[in-house]
Amino acid sequence: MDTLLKCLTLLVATPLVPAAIIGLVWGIIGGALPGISASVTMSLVLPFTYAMDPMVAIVLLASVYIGAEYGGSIPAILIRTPGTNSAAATVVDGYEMKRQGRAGEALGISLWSGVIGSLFGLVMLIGLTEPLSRIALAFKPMSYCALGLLGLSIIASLSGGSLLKGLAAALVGMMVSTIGIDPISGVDRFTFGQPDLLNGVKPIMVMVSLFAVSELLRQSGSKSVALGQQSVRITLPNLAMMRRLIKPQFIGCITGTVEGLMPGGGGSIAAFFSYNEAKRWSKHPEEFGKGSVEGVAAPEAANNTVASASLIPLLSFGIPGSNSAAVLLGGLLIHGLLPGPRLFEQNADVVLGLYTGSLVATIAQIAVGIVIMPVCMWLVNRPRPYLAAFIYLLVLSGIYTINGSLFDLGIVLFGGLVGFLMKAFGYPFLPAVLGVVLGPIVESNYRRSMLLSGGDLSIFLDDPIAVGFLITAVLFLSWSLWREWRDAVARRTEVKPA
Amino acid sequence: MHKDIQSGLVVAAVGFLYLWGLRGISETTLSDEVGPTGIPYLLGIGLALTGLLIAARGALVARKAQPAVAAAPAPDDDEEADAPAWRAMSFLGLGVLFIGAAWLAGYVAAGIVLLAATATFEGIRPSARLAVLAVVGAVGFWIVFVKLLGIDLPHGVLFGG
Amino acid sequence: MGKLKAAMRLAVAAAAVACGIGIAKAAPEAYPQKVVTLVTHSSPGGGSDVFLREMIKYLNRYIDATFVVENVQGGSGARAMSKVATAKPDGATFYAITPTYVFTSLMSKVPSTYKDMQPVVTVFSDAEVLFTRTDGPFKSLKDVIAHAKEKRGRWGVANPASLERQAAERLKKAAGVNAAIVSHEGGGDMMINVLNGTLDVGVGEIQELRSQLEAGKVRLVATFNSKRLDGYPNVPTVKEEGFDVVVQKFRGLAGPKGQPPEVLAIWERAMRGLIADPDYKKVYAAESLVPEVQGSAGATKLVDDFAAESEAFLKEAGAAK
Repeated sequence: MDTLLKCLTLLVATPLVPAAIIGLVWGIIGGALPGISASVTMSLVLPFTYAMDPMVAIVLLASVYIGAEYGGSIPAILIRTPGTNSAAATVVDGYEMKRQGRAGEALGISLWSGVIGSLFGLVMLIGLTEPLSRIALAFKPMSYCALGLLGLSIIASLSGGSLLKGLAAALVGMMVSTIGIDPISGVDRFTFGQPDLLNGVKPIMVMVSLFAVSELLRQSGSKSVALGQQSVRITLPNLAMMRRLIKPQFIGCITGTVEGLMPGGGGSIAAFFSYNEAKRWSKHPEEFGKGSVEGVAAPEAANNTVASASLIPLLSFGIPGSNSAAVLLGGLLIHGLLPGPRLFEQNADVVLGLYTGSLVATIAQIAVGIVIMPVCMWLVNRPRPYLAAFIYLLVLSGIYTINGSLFDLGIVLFGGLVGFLMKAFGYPFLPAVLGVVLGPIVESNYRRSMLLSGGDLSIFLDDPIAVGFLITAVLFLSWSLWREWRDAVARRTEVKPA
Repeated sequence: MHKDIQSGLVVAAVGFLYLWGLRGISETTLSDEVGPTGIPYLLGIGLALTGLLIAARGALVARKAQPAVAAAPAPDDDEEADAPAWRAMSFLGLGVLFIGAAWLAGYVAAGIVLLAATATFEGIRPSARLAVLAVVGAVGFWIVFVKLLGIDLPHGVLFGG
Repeated sequence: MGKLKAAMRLAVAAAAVACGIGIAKAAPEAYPQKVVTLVTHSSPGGGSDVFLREMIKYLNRYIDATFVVENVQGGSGARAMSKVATAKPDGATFYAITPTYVFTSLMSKVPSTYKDMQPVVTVFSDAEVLFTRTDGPFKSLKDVIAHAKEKRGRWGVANPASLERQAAERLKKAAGVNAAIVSHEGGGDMMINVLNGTLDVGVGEIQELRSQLEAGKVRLVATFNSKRLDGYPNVPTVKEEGFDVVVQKFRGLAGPKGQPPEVLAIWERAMRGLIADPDYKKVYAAESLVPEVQGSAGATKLVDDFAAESEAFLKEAGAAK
């Protein structure tokens, strides 16, 4: 009761509400611009918070994070361009829905699922920080490596028909991830003396190349106007739809919580994983990839859950669960706040303010979404030539801002060409994206594990989490292979009599 | 299945190229058990093998069934056909033009060129309206990135950037 | 209590420095440039970025100019280094240096190296320490070394091309033990592995450990500094424990080569004034930064010596390009 009263006082007596709303809007803008990640959006606003009251500053930053995680889905759905890494899985069914003239519905589902994810993450953050932080501590390099392998095991079901081609795409993705400074030994790999390659090719660059640029190339000169004038109304899910979305959202919330606890993940793994699981457990798996509402709900719930869940290791031991949480850590430190167990005792008001502010931002998300969505939808309903021109400029500008390098634009254009050819020859994109995201996790943690054990593989057996992940991976893989084989047999028997 | 033979061979070639590129990586005594080339070595071999398998399967299928066997996953019916290669390459060329223009004359000029050129290439007749839109668009983007977000965009070597 | 004492000791030390240079300036010194850009390769909120932003809050009291921090990320620092190395040496552009810029120069092919810049001033020496989890089996550096002799040590460092890594490798060599030195993607990643017992010890900077130190989750085993830290007088140095390894993480500024002598002199005076500034002192004392101001000559020697030492070390390991 006392706490509730305090929260109310905070709401009225401090500029917490405006901070949350401004942060949210700022976050949505940054998140919606491709190439500007949630963490960059936050660090852009960080200098402005130096002069603010610590609590207001932290609320502002946390709201930016919430907004950016949501904002990334807007271009993913409307122009096939993930605004942030974690929106890549949303592209698949979201953009498909838009093509079918269901943009308003897709945006409504992503908004609703984002709110559910944020609320779930917030409940976890407020109620279960203590026990969950202990889980976060239990992850060792072996667990991370196994998690990466588990993630790679879903390639089989994301390959869309051809397992070999999916494997090839994934391997190429992993190869791209080896460019740059080796994270274990520190030597250069595949940089060819080009300093712009030292930091590697970022996953977002690969996603933008494959999804956005290759689509621009493919559609060049196309006369078809996507279903004429679409409605610019956003449609929030009705009760029946809400009920249908519960399952994928739940899957998203759980995977999002797990990833938020693990430093270094950052949201995209949870998004892909929940997408795949939602498909596996869905009553309509055949709709996935063809505009499934569940395929939008799961990853969008997941990446918003990550935003709150990654604050758990941050607040409890000052270890950020994502790049964005790391910026928040910077914000805390600049205000002389030291995260860790004592934060809850010494600066209880800041923590309380953070909770309240995040809640305000989550609720405001619905209102802001409803207001700005029609504008975005109107924009993408312009004649296709104009749209193509503006998307082209938007994508190139966004990628430039990652490193301030024109060289990166060359990489993205080349990647677009590769994507164009991949599509023409029937190679799937998702495994390649997964390879870029998971490659470094698998490689560096495998090498760390081998360093720890002196080259003895049995170290994996000593880590129960790793064992659990590996068994699950084997099960997933055999399940997918079995299904692949069964489908192949079914196809053959169909063809033969004809 | 001719396409699979082609693409499989290209994939295998990429694998071998990658393996060849591994020679440029220096091994040090600071390295770990696996080393900076350990996993890449596996990746290269894996890709080369996968590529050869794809090509081999393509050849097999091509020989077995000359007449129309459902080749690869056929593109969905509702999807329009891909743009011809020359169009796609020209579209990419516009991007290269943008990079050059941004390097030379800065972001806003390059943005105007890109917007106008792309819209024209996609079938809008050059007009005063298009010119105005291109200018407004490029300046608008510049305002969003530079003024609102505070991120620097290219100034252009002509203007001392 | 220890903290208060330490703070007082720092204050006394700083006062001595202030007396040493005579009077504290009343008005900021005139400077040939109106706007000074301080470039860093770290992202907003990162180590060097915070260092610069904290510093410029007080720097106007000593130099009459406007200071701007510019984050030039990418290329592992290569872009920032090129930008500064190719700027005019007129006192308008400087780069925030740490040992990282020397490592990047030595290990990667970059267009501009540390040799293309002139160190202007060094301000601090951060404390590099060995730490372990409080409820673990290790109480002292001797325990850690004994364990590594007997079985196999597991030591963590935050990044591969870092001073921490070099410190750990040199300790391993000096002690003649078998230890796996595991690099991570940043300090947080490593901290988890220290806390959950995957690693025996980690090497890090005090600032990064403050949360865990205050919470009593980690314990300092030894410091790589040349003498004991003021804030932690009970923690021995590695050298005291019998291993001749001393490393210092310098923090300072470098600029394009050929800076006018008066610019160099102004910066040295300003930095001496700044570290004696009571407001600024509060900031850095909390982070256990040890003020060690050196003018351009001293800073150049410091960087050159460090680079020679690191190059020899990396060459021997085959890691230098």
